[in-house]
Amino acid sequence: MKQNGTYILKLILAYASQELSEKEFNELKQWLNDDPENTKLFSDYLYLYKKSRRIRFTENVDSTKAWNSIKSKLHQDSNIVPVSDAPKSKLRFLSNVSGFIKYAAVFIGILGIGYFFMNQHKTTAVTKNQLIIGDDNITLELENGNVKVIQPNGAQQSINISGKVVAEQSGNKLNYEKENSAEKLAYNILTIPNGKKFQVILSDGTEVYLNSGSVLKYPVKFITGINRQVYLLEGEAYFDVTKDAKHPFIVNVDNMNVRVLGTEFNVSAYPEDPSISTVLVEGSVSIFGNDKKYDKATSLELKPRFKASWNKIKTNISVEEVDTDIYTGWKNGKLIFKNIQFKNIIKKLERHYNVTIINNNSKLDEKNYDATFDVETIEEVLNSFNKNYEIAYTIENNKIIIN
Amino acid sequence: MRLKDIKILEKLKIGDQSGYKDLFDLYYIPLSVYSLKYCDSFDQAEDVVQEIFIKFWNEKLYLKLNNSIGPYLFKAVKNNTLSLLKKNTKYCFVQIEDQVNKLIEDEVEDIENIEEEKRKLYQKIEALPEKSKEVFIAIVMDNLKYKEAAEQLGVSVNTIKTHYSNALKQLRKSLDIIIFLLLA
Repeated sequence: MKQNGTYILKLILAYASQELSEKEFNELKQWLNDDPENTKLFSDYLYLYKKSRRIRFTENVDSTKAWNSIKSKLHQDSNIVPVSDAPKSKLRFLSNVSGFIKYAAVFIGILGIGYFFMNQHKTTAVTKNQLIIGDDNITLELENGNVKVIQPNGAQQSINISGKVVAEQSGNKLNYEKENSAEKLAYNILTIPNGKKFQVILSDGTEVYLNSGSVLKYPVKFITGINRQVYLLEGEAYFDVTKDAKHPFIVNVDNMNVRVLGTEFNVSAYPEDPSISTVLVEGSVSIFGNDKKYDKATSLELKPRFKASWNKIKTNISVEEVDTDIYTGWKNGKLIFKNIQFKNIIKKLERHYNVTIINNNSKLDEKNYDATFDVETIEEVLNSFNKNYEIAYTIENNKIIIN
Repeated sequence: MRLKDIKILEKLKIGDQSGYKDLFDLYYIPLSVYSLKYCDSFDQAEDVVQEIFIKFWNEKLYLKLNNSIGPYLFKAVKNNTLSLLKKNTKYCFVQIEDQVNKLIEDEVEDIENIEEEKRKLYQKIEALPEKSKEVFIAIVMDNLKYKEAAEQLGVSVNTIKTHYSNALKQLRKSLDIIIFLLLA
């Protein structure tokens, strides 16, 4: 998977279950055309998907029911086989003595899964009115496709690729080696789940803070003579870019590029927001569409303390002066809402706290609110909405319900 | 299968209706599995096959057949599934679908084979990280949509997608072995 790894995989999965948009379908088509290798990859995933579905299906088929249903629709003159003659489903009654041993493993597998679900239900029943916050892993996909789990509070660990240490992780930080002798671009993909934040220091010393629900793809080592290009595939990131006038640093987000030489800025590209926002803290950045090469004349140059909003659909830009703290506060654990629609606040709360919120009061969706939080728990946040805006909530089955 | 087909046809042609039950026992599951390959819907697959069985009896189609029934039934299932699909599918990469379906086609029909594969796959699913396993089971095994799975597991749709990608990535490593064995 050479390009936009995780994102493309998501598209393939959406395709397999026919849950994708026309735009996504076209992206997939483009990706397939890019490299003949990709077709092989695509086939493999589709194959696996169909295969697993089939196995599940054979377990689910109720042939007694099917037989009765067929029989009820046959023409009257065909009075065949009485109902009491239950059909033998070959699949279910396959086991003879030796078969029993042979297939015992299957049933252990099934029991294991069954037990798992029972366990789930038990837990939710006991704690009906309490929230249990899920703990999802930060993952790092290496260039060879292997996926490593990053434990922010675990022991320090080294990321090795073919025996060579390329990065060291300690706590909430992943630090790439500057002395890497690589001569070819090789990418890693870091995925930050909901409820977590993380920091990565790239091989040029650039510091990137990643917000919850973000995916960043970047080279293990930037190569001399080639632009420093990274891909924010999803979510929000704050970049503090090391100065290097010879190698512009480019962040690709959706169909937009942000180009800088050395500066600090924030890029936010969450799916619920209609536009990708770039907020410049200091220095200067240029913004241009990724369908063309950088050209000073046609790019938008952003000044410090300004925000550029790139409309994802119309691909046009609007610029306004802002209080940058509102946009970068998340880096220090703050959650700031300024004139944000309630439905988007919900999405951001879900992401920040890794919870599920269901809003049954659709009148609230389009209303805009201001609020700031930092150390509060999700319950405290909800209580504050309740107090200030009279928005009531309940907790049922580990979900927050707003009525 | 051929010999069984001939016996069934003999029974049907002399009006021995137990032949129809034999036909059902022999072909219902393999045909449904075959249909699923194309339509990816448990319900549709069974509906298509049941319709064909009903038609086979009601219109006495067995009278036209001589040596075999299987090829006729499989072809009918494929045609009917595909024509149903045309109405419902929005996006399709025809070539890739064909290629993948061909790969699957060549190893079906044998129930023992499915059991063996099932065993292998379960072992691998069991070995997945907890969250990925949970999501993989919900989506692939329990047939939930992303949104439903997200609700059931109390996480966001994005989290579901990420775990699902991770699960598939991990299973893919063993997939190569499966394919290799099948082609060998």
